[in-house]
This record gives sequence, structure tokens and C-alpha cells, in this order.
Amino acid sequence: MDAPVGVGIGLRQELYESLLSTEQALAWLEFVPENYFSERGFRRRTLARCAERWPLIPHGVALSIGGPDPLDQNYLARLKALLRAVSAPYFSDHLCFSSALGQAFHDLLPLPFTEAAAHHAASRARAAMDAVELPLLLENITYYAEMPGSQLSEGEFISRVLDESGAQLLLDINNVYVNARNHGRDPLTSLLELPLERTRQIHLAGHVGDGQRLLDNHGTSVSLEVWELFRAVIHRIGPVPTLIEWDTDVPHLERVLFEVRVAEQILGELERGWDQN
Amino acid sequence: MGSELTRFFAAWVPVLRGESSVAECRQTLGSSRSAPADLAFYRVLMERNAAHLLSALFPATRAAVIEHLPGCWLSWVADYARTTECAHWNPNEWGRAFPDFIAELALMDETLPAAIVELADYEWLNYAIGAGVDPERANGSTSEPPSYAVRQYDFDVPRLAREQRRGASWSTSQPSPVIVIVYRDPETEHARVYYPSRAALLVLAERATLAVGRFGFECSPEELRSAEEELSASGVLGASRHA
Repeated sequence: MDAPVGVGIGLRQELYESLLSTEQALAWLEFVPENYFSERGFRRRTLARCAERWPLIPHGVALSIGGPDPLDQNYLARLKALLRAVSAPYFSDHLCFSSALGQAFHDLLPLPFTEAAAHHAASRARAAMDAVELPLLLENITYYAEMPGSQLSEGEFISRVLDESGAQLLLDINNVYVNARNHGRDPLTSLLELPLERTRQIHLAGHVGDGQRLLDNHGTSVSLEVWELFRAVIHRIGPVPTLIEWDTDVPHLERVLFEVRVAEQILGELERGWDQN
Repeated sequence: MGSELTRFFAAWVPVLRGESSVAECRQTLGSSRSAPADLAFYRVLMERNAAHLLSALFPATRAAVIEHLPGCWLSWVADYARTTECAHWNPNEWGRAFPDFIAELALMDETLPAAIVELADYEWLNYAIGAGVDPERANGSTSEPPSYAVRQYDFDVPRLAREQRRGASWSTSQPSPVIVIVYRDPETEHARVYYPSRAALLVLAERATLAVGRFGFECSPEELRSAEEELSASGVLGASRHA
């Protein structure tokens, strides 16, 4: 299957019923493969029903591409089997670690921005792609603290990993914005420091204030500032498959689709301008 | 992985586990461009994740604890997180031992309502059967997971779970013994609950090649036939493998 086109949403349990009964236009769905490895159960059944209507794109959370423990071959085998079953054109996960020293943390934890960490992550990314036999996209995560020992900028670190591994970028624009605000930088400057030319998919999500910092909670609508950054990215790189990522406090489907329509409108404006240029 | 990265994980992971402090980590690794409070925020995130995960897996148990044991839920979550690691990539697997954790608390505290212990067991079972994972063993293989399980409870915990999720209050002091079958509906693949008759239990026991004589009662052939029809109609017998 080819990469999707247009704007999709995340396949969340809260939306199962409404998705299966909707007649509204929707380009594709993103799903978290770890929730669907079992071939039995209502989740897998729902996935199969969704596959009849929409392209399904996997977005994992457990690869721990930068972690110290060996890549879990059982996990990779099950991931490969699932991705084949849904004819996924690529898979994605996060440039982070989520498990270490035998323990799974079930969070997306930042790596130190160092050459060594970049080399390590790149090596494992190549191994993961070899095991799954699909292209890999790595997402830029939110980091609430820069890890001790960091020497590179975030943009340099991500570029190193992608250059060395051959993986591409899943650009989470909300994460760029949250990181910029939390670390006292200009969001657009931070965005332009990333290897945007390697973007193969975009995430748009919401954030909330948590004391003095912003929290990437994926639990609210996309902010105006993030929409503007989205415009800036699309203007530079052209249309890219875009996902509205609403994972917590998930509202009814109509509300999520409203965000889809906003994204489609922006893509439409710029596509028309792109064609004219 | 080089020594620099090995040092990083060796110093930082204990901070995430709550076994070491940010100050100790900075002493080993050097300072960060971020403030110590920002590094320490990751402990807060770990705690929030733990609470969120267990709340999602055990919503009725959580509600019952909050109602009947005020102040205990977050301390239970913290204690469970401190004593229970999870190596599995599926975050839900971290909840597998939570019912046993609560059961052990109950052994040490007679005032802990027994209904809450059974509620946690039921909620895990309900999740596992519906998700297609083995309720008794971590889902590390590709073998067919069981599609139903039989439980005997002193309290009608499926009903209590439904009421708790609706926000209704219930008394924890009135036992109402039940035998329930939690099964995966073959049509929808959702977990469902069935209250079997004695005849239905014998039918299932025979299918699971259990010696029916151990039950101490018998049923007529007509009763067994009727029970089998009812089990088929409800979908229990469409669920093929017993836990």
C-alpha cells in the first residue's frame, strides 16, 4: 500500500462505535500496534473492520529505539506480522527510550543529545527496519528537560540519527511548539532547525498548561500557534499526510473531525498555491 | 553502546525509578542545560502514568477504593509502582499483578472490603478476555488465548462494577455469592458476563474434560440439553477455549 494522502485521526477505543458508523469523509487512521497484537478480542476485530474502509498506519510506542536493552525480537516479529496483515506502507515510533535495564517505563523518555546516543539510535533504527522490512519514521518527542551530557541541539541530534539510519521524520509540530516554549526558544526557529525535508508524516495535537510548563497531553484542540507552524511547514515542504492526534479526554467524533477539516483547509489553500507556483 | 551512554542510563534510570535523586545523577553525569526541577519532573510523570494506567484498567476498583477507603488509592498506586516492575512492551501487562497486590493488602488488613479484592480480579479478567490475552499468563506467545474463564465470587462483582461505573454507591458488607463466566462474545469479541445454572456448569465442565462427579450434584439429560442450548444462544459455547 502507498503512503496515505490527506488528514487522518487516531483509532481510539472511545471512537470505535462512531467511526464504524460514520459516513463522514476521512482519509486514513493511525493506530498503536501494541494494542492490537492479539489476534482475538474486540480491538483486533475493530481494526479489521476499519481496514475495510481506511488505510491503517501504525504508530508504535514501545520500540525504545534509543534504549540500552537489546531490541525485543518477539515484539518486532509480532509487529511485522501485524503490519503485513494491514498492508502498512511504513511504521513509526519515537526517537526516545521507553524501556531500560529490564524495565518498561511506558513513557517516551528523552535521550541525551550526543553523537554517541545518535549513533546508537541510528544503529537500532536500521536493525528495526531490517527486521520489519518496512521504512521507519521517527517522531520528535516532547522533552521537559534536556538530559545531562547533551552537546548537540535537538535539530542536530535528529538529523544525525536520520542521516545515519535512513529513517525519515514524523514531525510532531505540537511537540516542537511545547519544547520551544518550555525551553525559552522561538517556535519557528526551532522548527526550521529540524530536517524538515525528511518529513513523511505530520502530527498535530493539543497541549495544556501545567504550572509553569506546557504539557503535551494530546487532550485538547490544536492551538492557533501550532496551526500557524503547520502552515509554515507545509509552505516549505508541500502536502504531507497529516494526523490529528487526540488521545486523552477524547471528545465525540464530530469534534475531532472538525480539526481534520481545519487541517484539510490549510492543506487545500497551500496545495492551490503550490500548484500555482 | 559506548561507555558514555552506559553511564547515562546507569545514573538516570534510578532517578526514574525513584531510587536516586536528580542531584546524585547530576553529580555523576554533570549538569544539564535544564534546571533540576525539570529533570525531577520526570518522576512526577512516572507517577502520573502509573495512576493513569491503573485507573484505566481498574476503574470500578478505583471508584470503590475512593469511596470506601478514602486516601488509599494513590498510596496503593505508589506502592504498587515501587514494588512491581514490568518488562513487557504492553503497558496493560503492568496491571496483571495488581489484583494479587490488593489481595495481599487484604491479608494484612481485615478492614479492607473483600468485595474490592474480588472487583480487581474481575476487572483484570474482563480486560484480558476482551483484549484476547491470557488472564493467567503474560501474553508473550502467539498461542490462542482463552476465550472464557469461570469465577466464584462472594460478591456479585460484575454487577458492582457496572453500578460503580455508573457512579452508584454500594455497600461492601453484604455478600451475594455468584458463579460467573466471563467470556469473549464470538460475534462482537467483547467481554461479556454470564451467570450459569448448575446444569450449565456441568456442560462446561464436561467440555473442559473436568470430572463432573467432583461437583456433588447431577442434572437430568433434559436439563443438560437445555443448558447447552442456552450456552450456545448466549455465545458462551462459541467461545472455544477455557482459561
